[in-house]
Amino acid sequence: MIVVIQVEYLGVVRLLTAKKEESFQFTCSPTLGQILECLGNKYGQEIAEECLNQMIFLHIPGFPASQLKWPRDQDVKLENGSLLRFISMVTGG
Amino acid sequence: MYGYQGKVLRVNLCTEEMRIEDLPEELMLNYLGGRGFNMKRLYDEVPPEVDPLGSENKLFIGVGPLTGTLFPGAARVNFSAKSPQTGILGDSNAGGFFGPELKFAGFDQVIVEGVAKAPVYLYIKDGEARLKPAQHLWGKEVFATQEAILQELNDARVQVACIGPAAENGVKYSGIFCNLVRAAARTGMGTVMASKNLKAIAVRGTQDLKAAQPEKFMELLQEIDQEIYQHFEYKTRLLLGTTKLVHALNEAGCLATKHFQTGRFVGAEQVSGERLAETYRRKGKGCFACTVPCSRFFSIEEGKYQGLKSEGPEFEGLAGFSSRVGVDDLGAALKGVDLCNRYGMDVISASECVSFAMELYQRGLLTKDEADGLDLTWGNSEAVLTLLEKIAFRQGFGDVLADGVVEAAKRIGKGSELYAMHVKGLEIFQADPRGLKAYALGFAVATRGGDHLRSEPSFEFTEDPEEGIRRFGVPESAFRLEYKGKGKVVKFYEERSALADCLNVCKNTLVNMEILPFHQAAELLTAVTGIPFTEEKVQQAAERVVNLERAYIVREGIRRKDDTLPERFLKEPLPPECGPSAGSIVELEPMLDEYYETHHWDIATGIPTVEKLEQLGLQDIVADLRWRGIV
Repeated sequence: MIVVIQVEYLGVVRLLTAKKEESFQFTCSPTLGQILECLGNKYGQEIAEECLNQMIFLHIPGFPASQLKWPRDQDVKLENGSLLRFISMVTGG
Repeated sequence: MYGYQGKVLRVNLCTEEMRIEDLPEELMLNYLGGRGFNMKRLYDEVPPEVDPLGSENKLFIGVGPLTGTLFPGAARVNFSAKSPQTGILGDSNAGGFFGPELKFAGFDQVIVEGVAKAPVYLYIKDGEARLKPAQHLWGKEVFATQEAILQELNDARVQVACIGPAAENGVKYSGIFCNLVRAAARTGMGTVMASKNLKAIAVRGTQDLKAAQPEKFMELLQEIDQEIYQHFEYKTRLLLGTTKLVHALNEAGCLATKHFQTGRFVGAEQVSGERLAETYRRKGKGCFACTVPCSRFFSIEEGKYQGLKSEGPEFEGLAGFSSRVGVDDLGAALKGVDLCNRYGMDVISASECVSFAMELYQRGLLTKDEADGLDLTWGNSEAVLTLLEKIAFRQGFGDVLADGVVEAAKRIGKGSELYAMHVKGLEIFQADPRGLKAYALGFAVATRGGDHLRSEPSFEFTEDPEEGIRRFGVPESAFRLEYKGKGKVVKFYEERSALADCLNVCKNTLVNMEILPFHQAAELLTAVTGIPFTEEKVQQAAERVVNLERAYIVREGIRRKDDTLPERFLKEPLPPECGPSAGSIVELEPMLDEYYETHHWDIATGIPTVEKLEQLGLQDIVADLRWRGIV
C-alpha cells in the first residue's frame, strides 16, 4: 500500500524552498517526525531547522477541522491523504 | 549626562516662545523615557476639562535612553496628547529615523503648546529651534511635504514628522508620519497636530551620545545581537515581517474577514505576505540600528496599479484593505495602504470605518444613495479606494466616517452601533478576538482604547502547558482559546510593552521575540546611563507607567463597565469554517476579574487601589484622585 502525504509550505519555508506544495510517498503510515526527516534530507539543514520553527496544521481525511501540531509532536501518525501545512508562528504584529 | 541628553524643548505656538528646560531626574529614574515621560506630562499638564482639539491640549514627543544608540531597533519616538478620537489617552509611536535624529539634535522630549496663528513647521537643529512658515505646505500630502521640507532646508539628512491633508481636514484618526510611511497612526495625534496649525517637525542633529560604561554597553549589545540572530523567528521577521500573519491567522481561523463576520478569508493566498514577497517585494528595509530589517520596498510593474511603489505594508494595512473588506486583489490592498499613508490616516481605523459601512450595506442599514452611489458590496476594491478619498477630504458620505466608527454609528443610527468594532472609541485590529483570548482581554483594558500594542500577549500561541504553568501558574495561559491565566499574561505583557515604549525600542524584538528581559534591561540601562538600575526598578517603572495611564483614564471617567468588547465577540461564536477557532466566544468577565486582581486594582470598578499607587510611588496621583473624589 502506498501512503501519500501532501505538504503545503507557507511562511518562510515557502520562500526558502521556492515551493508551495509537494507530496511524499511512503510504504506505511509515517510519523510527523519522519516527514521532518524527509524535508531535512531533501532541502538541507537550514530549511530543516526552519521547519522546526513553524506551526503545522494537520488535516486528516474525514475530519472537518484541522488540528494544530508542533514539530515537537514527532510521534503523531499520519494517514494516507493527510495534508500538512507548515506556517509561521503567530506572534505579534 | 549619559544616555539622555538631559534637555526638554517647550514650544508655545501662540507666543512663539521656545524654552529649553532640564529633564527632571525624577522622570529618568521613574519613567525611563518616551512613553513614560509623555504620560507623566500628560497626567500633570492636561487635566480632564481640556478639549482635545483646543489650545490647552499639548502634544508631547518623547524618546528614550537607548534612542540613537546601537541597541537594535532603538529607533522609535512617542507622540502623545489627549485624543480627539477617543477623548481619553492619546499615544502612538513610530519607527524610522526621526527619534534618533531628535536625540542627536539635543532633546529627550519636545512639548508643543497652544495654537499657531497660521500654519508653521518646527525646525530643530543641534539644540536650537525655530518656527518656519508652512502656508505653502498646507494641503500637501505626506510624501510631498517631507520632500518639500528637505529641499527647503537643503539638507537630505533632515528627518521629518508631518501630517497630511486628512489631519488638516479634521479626520479624527489622522496620524503623524515619519520617513514617508512610518506612522504614529493611532488615537489621532496627527489631528491634534493639525489643530495647532503645526504641519511638521523637522530635526537635524550632530550631537554626541555618551554611554557611562561604553565597553560594558557594547559587550551587552553583542550578546543581544547574537540572541536576535539565533532567535527562531529571525528569518521569518527578516523575509516576511508582520505580513506573515495573513496566512497564519487565516489558518488559525481568526483573520478579521468581512468585518469580523468570519475568521476565514478564502482569498488569503492572493493577498498574503508570501505572495507579496514573491511578486512585488524588491528589497528589505529597516529602521535606525535595526538588526532585523522587517519592512520592504515594493513596486508594481504591470496591471491596474502599475507604477505604485512604496515601503511596507505592515500586516494591519495589508489585511485591513483585503480580508477585512473582502478584497482579494493584492494591488488594490497596497493602493489602500498607500492612500492612507499619503493622506495621513490610520489604516486600522480607516479599514474599520470602511468595513463597518460595508456590513451596514450588506444588512440593508445603509443604502447606495446614502453612500453617495457607491456599491459597497464586499470585495469592491474601487468602492473601498473611493471611500478612502472621500474620508480624507470629508466629501459626502466620507464625512460621516471621518470622525471614527462611534460617531459614524451615531449619525447613521438604525441600530448600527451594534456593528461598530471599537473599544473606548478606538477601532480594533485585524485579528478576531474570539480566537485570541489574551488579546481580547488586552483590547478591553488597553489604556488607549481597542489596541493590541499595549500588551501583545502572543505567548498564548505557544500551546506549551508546562511553559504556561512555569510562567503564569496555569497550563491554559499558553493556549489561545482558553481564558484562565490570561489576566496574568496580559499584565506581564503590558509591562513589557511599556518597557519597549519607554526605551523607544521595537516591540518586535522586545515583546514578541522576548529579547531583553528586565534583569538584562537593568544592566543595559546602568551601562548606558550610569544610574544604578535593578531588575526590580525597571519592572516597577514599567508597572508605574501602566498604573499612571490607568489613573489618567479613570480620571477621565473610565471604569470596569468601559473595559468591554463589541457584543459580537461576547455572544456570537466564530462560524464553522473557522476550523480550530470555530465556536469560540470571549469569556471576558472572568478574565477581567483575574486581571484587576493581578494588578491589585479594585475588581468592582477597575480603579487602581491607593495601596498599589502608593507602592509605586504615585502619591501625587493618589492626592489628585482623592481631591476629585475618585479614591
